[in-house]
Amino acid sequence: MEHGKHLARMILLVFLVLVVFHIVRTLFTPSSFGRYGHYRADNVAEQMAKPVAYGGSASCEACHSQRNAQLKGGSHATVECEICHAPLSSHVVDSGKIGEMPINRSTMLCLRCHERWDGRPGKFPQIELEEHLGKMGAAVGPEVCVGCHDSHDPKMGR
Amino acid sequence: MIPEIRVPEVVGFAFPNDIHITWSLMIVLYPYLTGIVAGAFVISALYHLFGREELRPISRFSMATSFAFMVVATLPLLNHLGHPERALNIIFTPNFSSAMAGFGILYNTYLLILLLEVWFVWRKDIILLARRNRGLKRKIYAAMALWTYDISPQALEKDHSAIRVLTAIGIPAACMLHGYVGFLFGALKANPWWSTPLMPIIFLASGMTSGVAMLIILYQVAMKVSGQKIESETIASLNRWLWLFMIVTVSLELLEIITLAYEQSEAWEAIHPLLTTKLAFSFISVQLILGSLIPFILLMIAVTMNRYLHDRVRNTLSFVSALLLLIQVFAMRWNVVIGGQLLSKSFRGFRETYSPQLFEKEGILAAAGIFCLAFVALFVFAKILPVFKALEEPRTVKLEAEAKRS
Amino acid sequence: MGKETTRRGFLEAAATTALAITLGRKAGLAAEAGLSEYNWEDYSYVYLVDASKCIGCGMCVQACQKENRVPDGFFRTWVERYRIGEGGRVEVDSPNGGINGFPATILDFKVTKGLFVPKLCNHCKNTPCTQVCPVGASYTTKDGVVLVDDKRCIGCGYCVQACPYGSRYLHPVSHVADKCTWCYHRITRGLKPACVMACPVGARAFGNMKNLQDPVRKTIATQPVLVLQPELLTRPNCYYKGLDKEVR
Repeated sequence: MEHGKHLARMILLVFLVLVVFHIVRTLFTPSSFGRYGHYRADNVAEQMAKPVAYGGSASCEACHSQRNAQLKGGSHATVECEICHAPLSSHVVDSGKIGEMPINRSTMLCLRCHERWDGRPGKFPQIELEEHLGKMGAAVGPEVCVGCHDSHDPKMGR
Repeated sequence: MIPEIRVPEVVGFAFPNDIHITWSLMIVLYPYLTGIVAGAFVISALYHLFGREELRPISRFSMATSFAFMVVATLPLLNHLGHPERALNIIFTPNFSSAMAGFGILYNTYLLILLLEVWFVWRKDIILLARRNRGLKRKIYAAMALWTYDISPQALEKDHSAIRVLTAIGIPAACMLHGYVGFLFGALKANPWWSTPLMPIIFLASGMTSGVAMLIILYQVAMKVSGQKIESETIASLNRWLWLFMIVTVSLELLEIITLAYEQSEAWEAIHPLLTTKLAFSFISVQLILGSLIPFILLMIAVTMNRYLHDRVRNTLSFVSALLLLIQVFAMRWNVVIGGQLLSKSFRGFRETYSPQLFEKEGILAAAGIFCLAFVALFVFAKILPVFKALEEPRTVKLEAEAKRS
Repeated sequence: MGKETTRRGFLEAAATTALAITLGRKAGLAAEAGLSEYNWEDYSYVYLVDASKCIGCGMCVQACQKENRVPDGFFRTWVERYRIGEGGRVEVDSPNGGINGFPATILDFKVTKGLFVPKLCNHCKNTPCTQVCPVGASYTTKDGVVLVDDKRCIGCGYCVQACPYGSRYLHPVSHVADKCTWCYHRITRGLKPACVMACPVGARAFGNMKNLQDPVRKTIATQPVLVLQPELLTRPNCYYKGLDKEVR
């Protein structure tokens, strides 16, 4: 093709760019990409390997079986230990105790479930704090609820 | 018992994750830039492919403008990404079900077409410059010419064929590049303010508008600065195209709103207060009145009374309308990108208003800087290659060549 | 039971019993560590929210934040409160996602019905978020969980825009998309997601559709359930009982 040398060179250049791109692309694509779908399969294992923070009551049972039995027998049976305490991971790691377990006795914590709110299911036990304390002759205080109620078995008069 | 936690400026109820503006000013800027790319390219195509001779004086310039804006169009995206260092993942492992993966394919295809077309249009100039210069400059131009110096009529004829083919592919490519940006918004069912099949067409039409408007301004400024004559035929033609494109744009924009309002759907319940409160200024005042109504009237005068107008009046009308339409299109991008995010997907409220800061990473200064870089790129282009008139072969060379041939 | 065994904390138990994975032809990270197997072909997870039970205490939101280190002001799960009166009066709120419960504010209308609605990623079968991910960083596992690969995500935010439920956010520190994983690290070890574990009233339940005896599966099969925004056909794997028409 006379007078078409420049065309041929440009086509060759474009082709070379595409080849280089393909090589670079192969180099930078993770080996596990596309194994199960259009994603990096290794990420599934990475997601699974993330550390667990909350153990659930079953994990507390190992050391605190008596407490757990008391809790399971009362009206707070469905309340997990770590809700009022803290995640297990801040207390025990690899079967060794790494720190004290915090105890939250705050009135605020109790009210999160038991304060009377519009919209809360009617049959769930709930109170107006001042009215409730007024009946008992007590004043509002930061940890007033646990003065009468045992958090692990809160129902009175048993 | 719990103190009210105040989330700033949420009217009604927004989903808690919805109060953040994920797509910032940068995502407003990106479609603005690609719109100008597409619009400028179409003007160059009108000459190269459709033989509009009156656009010849700006045929090269419009291509250079398209190219300059194309080069900087990725910058706002890179600045916006949480991980710009992984940006190439989009072409290494594109997920073809994603409209955004279209970016890798469409952007690169169009960039390749544009690069090739620039090369063919300017090839003769590159060779002449290679011959004229000495030293490093000569080496650079020689490399740009791929070390072949064939400017025989037969070779140039091949270039012209290549240009025609590339332009023919380039028009749909430019439309797809900009249309996909509209599709990217229009195909999201989560957001009623975005989700309309009109979106890609609105983006395209407004892209054309902004591209032509940008050319009018740049052309007039460049001619004024270099002391050359502004061709009245060219300006008159650009005015007509600008008027056409803006009418299509504004009609579609209004059509979208009117349809929503007329359907009285759930979406309108949320969009109506959005338009009249949060977007009242940028939509009604800027986009519809300042940016559409005024230039519509100005261009109507310029187009219908063209033959009675003095050159200076025509140029002024043209310049002012172009400027207002550039603002209109920017406001439109803003109202789409930001407006759509103010509306919470709960349909019950609006998020905090978004006002970009001057100095933040994705703020006003960064946006202005990137926008200005487009002009810098155009300036550099013009330093390397002539953007208005093609270079002439020196007489002696011509004679020698003819002597050789005979 | 000796002191030694009682001392054995949960984490160790979890490590020695569950962590492994066998995913098709090549064993994953956990299997390499010599742990017992998890075969994702045996699971198809499903989530059930009973809005009529929810009391709005927000313990789930708090547990999720601690379990998954969710940054302040962002939510993998949250609770919404709907207070509805006659004549179309509706007040919806979710102060800080309900992480500290709700203020006992009095409204200027009489509330005739009300409900608390826990929200989280619906792990849709026809998910709009992975559809739009341009790089394949977001995907659905064989057991039906929608995840984000934080090492491939480019942080474009398209998935955040595409999710009609507002379940996703861009993490302010890692700058990648983040969302509920149904606590994938827990469920693959045989534990419940943190939010399900934390719920004191059983408003949240988690199950496996491939287990014929699963109570959640039975509920979905035999009782009236809804999904959120069904008109979008995202086909959520998260079902709701006791919803109101005001909930979107």
